[in-house]
Amino acid sequence: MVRIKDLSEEDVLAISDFYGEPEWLRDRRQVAFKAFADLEWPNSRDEEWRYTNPARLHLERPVLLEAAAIPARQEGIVAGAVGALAGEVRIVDGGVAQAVVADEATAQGVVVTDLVTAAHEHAALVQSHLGTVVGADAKFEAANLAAFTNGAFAYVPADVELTEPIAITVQATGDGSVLPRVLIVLGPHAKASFYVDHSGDAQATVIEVVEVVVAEGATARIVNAQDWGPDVDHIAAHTGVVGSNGDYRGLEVNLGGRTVYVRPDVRLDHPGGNGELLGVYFCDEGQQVEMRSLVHHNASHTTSDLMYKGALQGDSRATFYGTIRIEEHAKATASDETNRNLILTDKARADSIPVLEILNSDVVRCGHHSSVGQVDELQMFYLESRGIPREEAARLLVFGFFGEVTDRIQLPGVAEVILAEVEREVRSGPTNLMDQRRR
Amino acid sequence: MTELEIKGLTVEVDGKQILKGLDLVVTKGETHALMGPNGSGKSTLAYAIMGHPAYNVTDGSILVQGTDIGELPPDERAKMGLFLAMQYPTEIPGVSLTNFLRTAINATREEDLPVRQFMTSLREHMSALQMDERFLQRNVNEGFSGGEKKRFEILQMAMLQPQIAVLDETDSGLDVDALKVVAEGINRLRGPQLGVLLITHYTRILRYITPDHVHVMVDGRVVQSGGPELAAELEEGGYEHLRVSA
Ligand SMILES: Nc1ncnc2c1ncn2[C@@H]1O[C@H](COP(=O)(O)OP(=O)(O)O)[C@@H](O)[C@H]1O
Ligand SMILES: [Mg+2]
Repeated sequence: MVRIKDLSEEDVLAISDFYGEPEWLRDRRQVAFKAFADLEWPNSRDEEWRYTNPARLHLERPVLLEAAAIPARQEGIVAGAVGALAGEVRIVDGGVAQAVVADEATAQGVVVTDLVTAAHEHAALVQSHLGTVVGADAKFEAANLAAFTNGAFAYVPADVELTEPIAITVQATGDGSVLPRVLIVLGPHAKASFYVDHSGDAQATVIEVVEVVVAEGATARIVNAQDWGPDVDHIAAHTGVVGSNGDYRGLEVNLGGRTVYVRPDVRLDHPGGNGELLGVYFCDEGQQVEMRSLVHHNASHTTSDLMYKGALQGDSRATFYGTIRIEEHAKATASDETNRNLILTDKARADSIPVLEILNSDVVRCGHHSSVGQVDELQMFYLESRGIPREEAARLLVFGFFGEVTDRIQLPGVAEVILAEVEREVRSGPTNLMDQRRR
Repeated sequence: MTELEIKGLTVEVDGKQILKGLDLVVTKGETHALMGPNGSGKSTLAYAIMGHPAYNVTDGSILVQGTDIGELPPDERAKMGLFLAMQYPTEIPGVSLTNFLRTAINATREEDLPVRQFMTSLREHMSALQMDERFLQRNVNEGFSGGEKKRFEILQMAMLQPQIAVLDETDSGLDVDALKVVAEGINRLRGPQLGVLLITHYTRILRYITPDHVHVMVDGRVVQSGGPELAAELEEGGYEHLRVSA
């Protein structure tokens, strides 16, 4: 039985054998394993794990290598919201249950398949990109690169613009650990959107990597949405690397799970690149969610805009820790970061920590805004005085709060499904809002 | 029929007594002007009537059609036909005017008004108040000028069709043209089914809206009541001589 907490080199080789991988990929896993073995397990004294105690994570659950059958019920949030798809990969537990691509897309050279098949059939592409965006520098990232349980690969060649999105669903149906890995590559001036959807009610630990390569002038829109059941631990790196004048637009939706620790990063390594990071989260009873983001301005004239908004109710905790780093050589950058939290009931707690690391003085703009607050009682009274009951008034305010982010989501249907999920969450939670003055 | 009856009302805010035994009766079909200097407790009365949680009723009672509403939350009071046009309407970012109004109307009527009917009625009232269609795209009071906020309060009153409307300084901060539009809006709604409590600091709005009764409030009490002629007296002499005679 393979377990993440005592992962060995033999385990890694066995995983590679199980999937029947080419030799180069097995070697990659081995190199990653060495990095993994050299890294300490995170503990709560580490700066990066100050807000989420790694002891909460279930790393003893056995690693699942097989793809379970596709569940009959369509789960997930965003993937179901769209109509026609250019391609779809369905990861169920430890493998890929299905991968399809539309004929039209194939004709344009688009590839949508599972990662192991891609390693055989598109070796040059996978070889040159796998692990370049998210490597083996941190413990969980290294664990994924060494022991990933298959995953998805999507490639959109130069100048191809897809009108339909590509959906990648990650479902946890069996108890255990899985390490899915998603590699997305957009060639120069390509344009495509991707819906990565996470769902499942199992007692599962998901250690995931989604790495996105955006070549010069390309545009990638990517949604990472999770609505896990209450027994899922999720540790993920969702990272984009942007070429010159490229555009990476990420949206993170965190609704479920027990312990969730995501790193939504964007690396602006070439001049003129843009990164937009949007986030919506809703935490309730028993949940802990941390979003630890890095926006890295590593070239001149790069721009970025981050906006994360979350609401919390019940005994729950959310942390947003967002760093904007502007390197010394990255001149004339513009960046902005906003995180706002709405506390709906007494026990919920949010931490909002913006960090600016600005290493040069030639900055066009660098702003940050951060807040943790409760529902405004003046606004509540105004709504209630118009006959709107307190619970419904609170819902209106919660939607209004999220509107600032959801209004910016340009992918059709996505804002609507997110707001519908938020509504479901608000309705399911405790209705007595925080208010000292009331009986 | 007596719609609103206030008896010996005392109200505290932050532990400080603001209303000190106030009596007032407003009947359907009548318009009452309540006047008084700044700080006399006019807004406190308005909030207490509507059930704002920060305004603590420590004695006396507020009755609507004979029922004591002291324990009811604000939304229940609205459903009983009370409406408060606020002196300082609250901005609510992210909540669209249309969505807000529809939710409010469906909540007070306790049944859903068909969208088409809602929109028709909304457009009619908006044009009467000389409000641009573009308001429909905006969020509740967000970025509204003072005059726009006051118009929107009257628009809500028109849509919600209350039985008793408390209008707290709806005239303040308006230029003459806006004041006329707002006053006409209020006059259109007056009738046998509506009682109005028009709270004002100045007599200006009373040139456009003739009250049936005028009350003067000083230091948390009604100190004098009379007909429209009382307003004229106030215009001449101000509140000072009243305070002395009271
Ligand atoms: N929310 C509040 N907190 C503290 N004091 C208040 C509050 N509202 C009103 N007051 C006080 O109550 C008194 C009456 O105020 P208000 O009712 O606004 O008078 P008016 O509307 O007649 O000008 C004033 O002294 C004011 O400072
Ligand atoms: Mg006042």
